[in-house]
Amino acid sequence: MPSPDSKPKITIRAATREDLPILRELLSRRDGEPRTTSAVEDHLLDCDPEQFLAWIAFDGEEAVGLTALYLRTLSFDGEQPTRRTAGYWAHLYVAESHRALMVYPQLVFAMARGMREAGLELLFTATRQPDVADGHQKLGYQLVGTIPVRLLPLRPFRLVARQKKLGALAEALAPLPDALWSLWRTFHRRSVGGGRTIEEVPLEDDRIEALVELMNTRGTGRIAQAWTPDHFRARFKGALDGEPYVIHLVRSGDRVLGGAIHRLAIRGNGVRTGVLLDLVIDQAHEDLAAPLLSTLERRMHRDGADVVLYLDGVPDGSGDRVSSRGYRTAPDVYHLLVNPKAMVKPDTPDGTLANWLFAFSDHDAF
Amino acid sequence: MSDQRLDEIRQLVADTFGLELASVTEETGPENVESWDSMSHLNLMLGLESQFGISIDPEEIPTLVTVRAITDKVTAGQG
Repeated sequence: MPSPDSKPKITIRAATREDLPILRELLSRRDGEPRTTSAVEDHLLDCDPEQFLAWIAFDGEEAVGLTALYLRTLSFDGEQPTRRTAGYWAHLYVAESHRALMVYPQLVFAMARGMREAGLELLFTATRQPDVADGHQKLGYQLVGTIPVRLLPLRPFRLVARQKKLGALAEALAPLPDALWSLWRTFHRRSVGGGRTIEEVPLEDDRIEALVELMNTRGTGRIAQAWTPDHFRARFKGALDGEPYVIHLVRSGDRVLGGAIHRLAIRGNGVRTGVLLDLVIDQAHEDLAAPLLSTLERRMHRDGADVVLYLDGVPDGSGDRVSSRGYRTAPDVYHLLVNPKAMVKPDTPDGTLANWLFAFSDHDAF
Repeated sequence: MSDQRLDEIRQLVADTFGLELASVTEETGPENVESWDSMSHLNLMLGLESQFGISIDPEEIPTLVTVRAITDKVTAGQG
């Protein structure tokens, strides 16, 4: 650690909407990909302080670090149902040139103060990096548990060729066996019957409100994000990489019986990933899960996905739903962390992962 | 600075970085404590605010890197 005298003076300040170009630059540097202004505006909720708080670290005029909170309401629906204002911690980044200069503690310290000023009762986050999870626990976060990821290969041979970097020849040879795999998967196709339909809808569709209601009903008896239609529309307005979110509804007449949100993302080695952010089905219409998943898989395959990922943190039987479609356990897990620890003590209902509901829709990465 | 306050700060530093209390002096800091990394330093700052009821500006964090600097801050902060 350099001596204090040799360090540049770092200043931290809360971000405002006027800082969106700076935030865009920082996120582009973090991701190694240029991010567009509109995508950053959408993903950071226009820096609306009612929904999103961020702090930027500066070395002189140069922005060198960032941390942020998405403001949410969590329903703790146990013996004494209550709602808590929460911040979902995201976008922690310090420029490589400034990693040994105490920028990180200054940012997190500023965020902790901002949390108190905003009246937030807790912070929570999820990470798949074990070292980050360890660091958070040293900071006083409680590890509530690890959430498994399920995956379904859609183009298994191209997936392996890309993941293992087998080269252009392997990728060029993959389409034939992948087509045979696809053909075999057609036996898994399920159609929706009984006058019910599955359709893609835009974010503005009025029936989104019914889907949101289903999501909130699903959270009954659990610790879950309390969604509103406005929050839903803000969350799924746009992703950082500009890929659109796709929303499907299952309905019978005007009645919404379920739905799903997914998008495509490019992950390591160019693997095209269909990310199933959420899947919600009216419990009385469980038979709709398979046709809905079948529809999503076909759509993702059509859009060039190599694999589908699903975060199995929704204890409503969704894990079984995807397993029955052939999803298997992925190597990754997500560590769910909460601060302060006292709120989620181990061996209490609030500190038990099975009582939490956490999907990719609750996470910021996709 | 009272001896008691200094001892409380030394104890907090010892607890934060996993040190023997006797080894913590006014000169103790990241230069001579291997475990004094940015994460632990942040915990120390949060502990100081909580235990001594002082307010630390984020910009002060990089300067509070010896027990002496910390005791000066706590003394000033507590009036």
